[in-house]
Amino acid sequence: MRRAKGLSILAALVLFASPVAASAADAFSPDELIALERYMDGRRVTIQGEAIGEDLRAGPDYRWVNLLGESVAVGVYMHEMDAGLIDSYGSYKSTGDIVRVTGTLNFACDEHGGDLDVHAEIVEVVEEGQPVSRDLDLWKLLVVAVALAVFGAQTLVYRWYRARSM
Amino acid sequence: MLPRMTWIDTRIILYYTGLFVFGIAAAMVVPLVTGILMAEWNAALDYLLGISAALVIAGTLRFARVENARVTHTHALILTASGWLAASLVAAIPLALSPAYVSYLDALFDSVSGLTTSGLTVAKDLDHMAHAHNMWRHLTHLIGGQGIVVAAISLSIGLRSGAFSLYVAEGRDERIMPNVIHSARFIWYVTAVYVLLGTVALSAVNFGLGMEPARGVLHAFWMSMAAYDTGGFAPQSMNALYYHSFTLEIVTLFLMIGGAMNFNLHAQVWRGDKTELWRNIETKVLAINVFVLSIVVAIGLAATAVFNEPMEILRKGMYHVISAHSGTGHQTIYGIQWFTDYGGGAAAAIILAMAAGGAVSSTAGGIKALRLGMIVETIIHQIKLAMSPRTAIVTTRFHHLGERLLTPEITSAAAIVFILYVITYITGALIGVAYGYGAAESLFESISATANVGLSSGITGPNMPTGLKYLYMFQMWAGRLEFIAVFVLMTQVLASVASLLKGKK
Repeated sequence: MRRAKGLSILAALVLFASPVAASAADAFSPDELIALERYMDGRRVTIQGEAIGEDLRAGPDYRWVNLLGESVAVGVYMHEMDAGLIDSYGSYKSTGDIVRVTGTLNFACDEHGGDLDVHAEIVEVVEEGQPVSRDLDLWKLLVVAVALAVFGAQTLVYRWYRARSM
Repeated sequence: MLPRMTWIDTRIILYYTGLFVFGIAAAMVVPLVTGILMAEWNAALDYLLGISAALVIAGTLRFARVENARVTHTHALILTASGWLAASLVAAIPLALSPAYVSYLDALFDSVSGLTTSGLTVAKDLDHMAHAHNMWRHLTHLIGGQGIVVAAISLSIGLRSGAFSLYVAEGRDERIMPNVIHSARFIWYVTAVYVLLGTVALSAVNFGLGMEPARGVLHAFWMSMAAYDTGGFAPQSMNALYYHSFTLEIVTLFLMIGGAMNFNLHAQVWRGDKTELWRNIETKVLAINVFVLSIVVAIGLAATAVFNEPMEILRKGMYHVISAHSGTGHQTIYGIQWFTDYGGGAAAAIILAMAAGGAVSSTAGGIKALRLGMIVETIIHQIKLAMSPRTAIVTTRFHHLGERLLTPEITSAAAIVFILYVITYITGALIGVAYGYGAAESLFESISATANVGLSSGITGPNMPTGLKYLYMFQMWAGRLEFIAVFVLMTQVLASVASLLKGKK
C-alpha cells in the first residue's frame, strides 16, 4: 500500500515536471487517484478509466461520468458535449469506453457537497467499449434438468411414504 | 450436563430448515424473472439452477418430517441459527455461478452479508454485474432484514407451534400484536409501505438524473430495500456516491432512520400515539447519540481541513453517522478516506455509532439503543442507591412502550448482550491485527461486520485473507442473531460430537 502510494507520488512528480501533455502512462487510475496525498488537492491531473453505468445529469449543460479503475470508480464532472463523445458505458452487456480526462482534482469539492471528484477540462476516448457476448452455459441447463428430475422423483417417493405411514 | 438432542429433535430441526430452504427457492423466482425480462439469459439460468438445487435440498430434508411435532424453545434457537446458515448456503449458489465472484466462498460471504443486512461485499466487479444478480443481492436484504423466520411465520408455513420462540430467537425482543403471526405480517406491511414510498421517490430522482426508466426504477427499488433494511448493498461499486445526488441522500436518510426504528414504535405511531416517539427511551438514546456523534464527526472533519464549507461537513458527517448508527453502511466517501483523510475524531465517532446500533425489533444491528439506555439507567440507579440511606427503597423506571420498572433481570440481560458484542468487536479486531492490518482499520471492520453495518475501512474485498472472510461471516451471522441462538447450536453440535467420540471409546 505504502509502495503504491510512493509510486503515485512519483507519477505525480513526473506529470508536473513535464511540460508535455500527459500520455497514457502518466494518467492515474481511479484507484491511485483516491490514494493520492493531500497536496494534490486542486491540482491538474490526468485520469484514465472505463466509463460505467450511464452519464448522469449534473445541472444545465453538465454531466457526471463515473470512471472505473481496477476496483474503484471516481466521478468526473464534464460538459455534456464532452460526455457526448462517450458511446459505450460498462455494464453486464458491454465494456465501457476507456476515457482519459485531464482536469482539476477536488478531494472535497465545494461545488458538489464535499464529494471527491474531478472537473474535466480535456476529455478523450482512448479505446472504444465493446458488447460482451456471453454464450449460454449449456451444462447449467443439464444440471437443472437432472435436479428437477430428482426433485420430481423425491416428491413421488415422499407422497408414497406419507400415504403408507398414515 | 447439557441436554442432548434426540433423533426426533434433529428431525424437527432438519424438516423446518428444509422449509426455509424452500422459501429461498421461491424467492429466487424474482431474480429469475428479472433476468428473463432484461434478456440476461446466463444470469437467469443461474437462478433456474439455484432454484433446482434448493428444491432438491428442501425435498431431501422433507423426509425428516415428524407428525404432530411441537417446536420447543431450544428447537427454536437451534432452528433459527441453522435456518440462517442453510439459507445463506443456498442463496450463494446462483451468485457463485456469476462471473462477479471468484469462488463459492466469496458468493457465500455476500449471501451472509446480504441476509444479515450487513452490506460488506467481496464482489470483484459490481459495475458489470447482471441486473438479476443485483436483484438477488438486494432481495437478500429484504428477506434477512425482516427475518427469515418472520417470513416463514407470516406465511404460516407450518410454524404455528413454537412460533413466538422462533420470533424471539431471531432477535425480535417483543411481539407487536397479541398474535405473533399478525406481528410478523405487520412487520412486512410496514416494510412494504417504506420500500414502496422509497422506490417512488428514488425513481423520480433517477429519472431526473436521466437514467433509463427500467434501470432507474430497478436502482430505486434496490437502494430503497438496502436503505430501509439497513443493508448497505448498492448496484454500483461507488455505493450512494455513484448518483452524485443530494436528494437521493435525503431520501435514503429517511429510509435508514425508518429502518432503525423499533417496529413496535411504528405500530404505536400508526395507531395514533405519537407521544411514544419522544417519550421512548430508545428514541431518546438514538437522538442523543446521533446529535453527540454528529458533533464529534463535525469537529473531526473540520480539524482535518479537508472541507471548506460547514454544509459539506454537515452533509458528509450526518449521512455517515446515521448510516453507521442505523447499521446501513451506505457511503458517499471512499472507505480508506476514514483513515487517510478524515482520521482521528471522525473515524472514532463512526466506530462508536456502528457499535451502538439502532433500536431493538428493527432491521438494524449492533448493541441497540434500548440496551444502552438500560445500562445507563442502571448506572444512575446504582449512584442513587449509593447516595440513599441503607433502609431506603430506590426504584428506577423507564419508558419503553409504557412505563417499566428497571429490574435486575432486565439489567443483566442487557449487560450480557452488551458484553458479548464488545468481546466479539475486540476479538475480531485483534484477529485483523494478527493478519497484519492496522489496529484502527481492524476495529472498524470487526465492528462493521458484527453490528451488520457494512461500512468498510478497505479491508474487505475479494483479495482479503480467507481466514478473515470466515471470521467476518461468523461475526455477521452471530451478530444478526444476537449470539444466543448461535451459541446453542454450537453447544449442541459439540455435545453431539463429544457423545459420538465417547461412544467410540
